[in-house]
Amino acid sequence: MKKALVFLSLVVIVPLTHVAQTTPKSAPTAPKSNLGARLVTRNNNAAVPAAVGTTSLYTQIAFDWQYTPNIPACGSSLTNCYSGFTLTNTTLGTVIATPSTLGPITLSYAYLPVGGVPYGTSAFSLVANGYDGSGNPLTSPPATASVVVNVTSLNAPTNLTGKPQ
Amino acid sequence: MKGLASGAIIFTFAIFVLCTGCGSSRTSTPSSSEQPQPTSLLITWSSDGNPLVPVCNGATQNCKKDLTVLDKTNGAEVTVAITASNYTAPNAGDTYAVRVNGFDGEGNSISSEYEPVTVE
Repeated sequence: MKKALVFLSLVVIVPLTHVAQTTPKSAPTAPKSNLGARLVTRNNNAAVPAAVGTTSLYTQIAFDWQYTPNIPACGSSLTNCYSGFTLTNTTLGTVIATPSTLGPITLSYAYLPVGGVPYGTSAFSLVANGYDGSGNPLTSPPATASVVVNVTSLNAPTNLTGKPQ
Repeated sequence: MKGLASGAIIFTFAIFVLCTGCGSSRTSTPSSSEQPQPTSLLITWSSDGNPLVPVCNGATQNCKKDLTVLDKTNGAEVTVAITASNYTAPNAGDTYAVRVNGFDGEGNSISSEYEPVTVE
């Protein structure tokens, strides 16, 4: 069984850029947000498929963050509002979740990579999504976090057979 | 006279059949001493055992690098690419084992245990 060391990094998120063409009803505040990432150890009782002897000890990455909005959450009108967040695996270049999953009041997310958390470094970014006064999409600068699962041992090859020729 | 000739023909035919049978038997089933002896051993494996560990490709941390095939009979070692799934060993009668090599998170060289090759 492999053991792993985990390193987490926290980065302060930059406020969602607000380019309103109409005067917002309330003055923007200065949001302060942090993105945290925490690895969750494999649990044999969890409803997570386990690939025997092949994955790291970790099956999921638990993200959490804080966000103080400087504009209101979106309602029926998509102007001067923020709609939620987009979480991206920047190591693989894949979007994990969008505002349809990470709505404006969401402050955590459990990511279960297929086959478990891979060895090595996995980096992630989180941005806030919103709309300006004309309904154009806005995106904040990213908050980032990374997790590292270190290899400490290797398995031998499997199904090793020899056939005389 | 006619009966004697018929008998000779039947006898000749019988000898021909018997000789043909003897000949084919001798050529189709050679004795064990005539079968070719194996000279090499095809070693195969279904996985390197570490599918989620990335291949090094020049990296020196958290990765798998290559495999070592050990001839336990004479101590000779051969390095095989981590992407390989088989290796033809030269000595069919020798005993072999295979291990995986790579690097841990601190850049130290690490290897798996040697897995003995089971000969079919």
